[in-house]
Amino acid sequence: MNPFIAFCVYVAARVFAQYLMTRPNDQQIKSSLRFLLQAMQALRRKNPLTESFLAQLNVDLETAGIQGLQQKQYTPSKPKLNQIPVAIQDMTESIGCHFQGPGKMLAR
Amino acid sequence: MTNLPASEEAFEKSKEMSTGSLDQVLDHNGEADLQSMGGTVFTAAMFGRNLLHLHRPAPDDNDGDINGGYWNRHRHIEQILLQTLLGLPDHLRLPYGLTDPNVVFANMCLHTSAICLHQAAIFKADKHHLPASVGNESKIRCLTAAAEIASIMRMISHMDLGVVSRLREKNSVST
Repeated sequence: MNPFIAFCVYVAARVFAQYLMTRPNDQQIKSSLRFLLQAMQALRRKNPLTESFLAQLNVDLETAGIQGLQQKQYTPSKPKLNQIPVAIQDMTESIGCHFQGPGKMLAR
Repeated sequence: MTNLPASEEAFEKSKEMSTGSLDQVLDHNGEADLQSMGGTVFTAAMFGRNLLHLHRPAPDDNDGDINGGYWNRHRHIEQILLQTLLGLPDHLRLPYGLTDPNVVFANMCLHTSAICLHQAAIFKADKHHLPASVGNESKIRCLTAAAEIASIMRMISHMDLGVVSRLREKNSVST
């Protein structure tokens, strides 16, 4: 998709944010705004331009005083699923290291 | 003036094809001949017009007068946008053209253009204390356009947005 699609999404999200300033209880608009935020989060993974629009949108949301929509901060290093928790590391050694953590087990 | 690009098929097969000029689409109801790439060109032209409209004021603008230069220009751009949206050929409409990234992008940009235009109008109407109906009408236009963008985004959310990127597409063709 064209990288500038993020701009379209940002402009739409801003309009919703402005509307919510006057009518904060409109749940339909709120859920649309939430969806657009999620869409931008998804776009960001493939399209770095989205990052700057997202940062600007977060500033807009703060000035509009809209709570409860802020996304979790970007965390580049996610905990690995197949990492063995410290508490059971000794146990896995005793059963011959066949235990590979929940991620791999589910994948089988 | 600028001639618009032919369809992808005509381009790939080196077929001759007559397309209108940008001028025809802008002022003479020529949008029926638009092709998908031409849609992107057209939206770029609309953003450009919007930019000139807002940042290159003319001496007779008279922002406070609803019949002044600024508001006449505003209505002219609005009319082009609406007329284009109404007259879009079927292959440029959604959901029919959903698989073509250019069509999706052009549709989104038309609505974005409308929002940009009306956001400025809301600001001007407020600043010059024009009748409340002017600002309210623009607010409603903004909101419906934003809802339309959200709806398009919902329609395309099942697609892998990175894979259909134009840049990647070219890479995959060349390899």
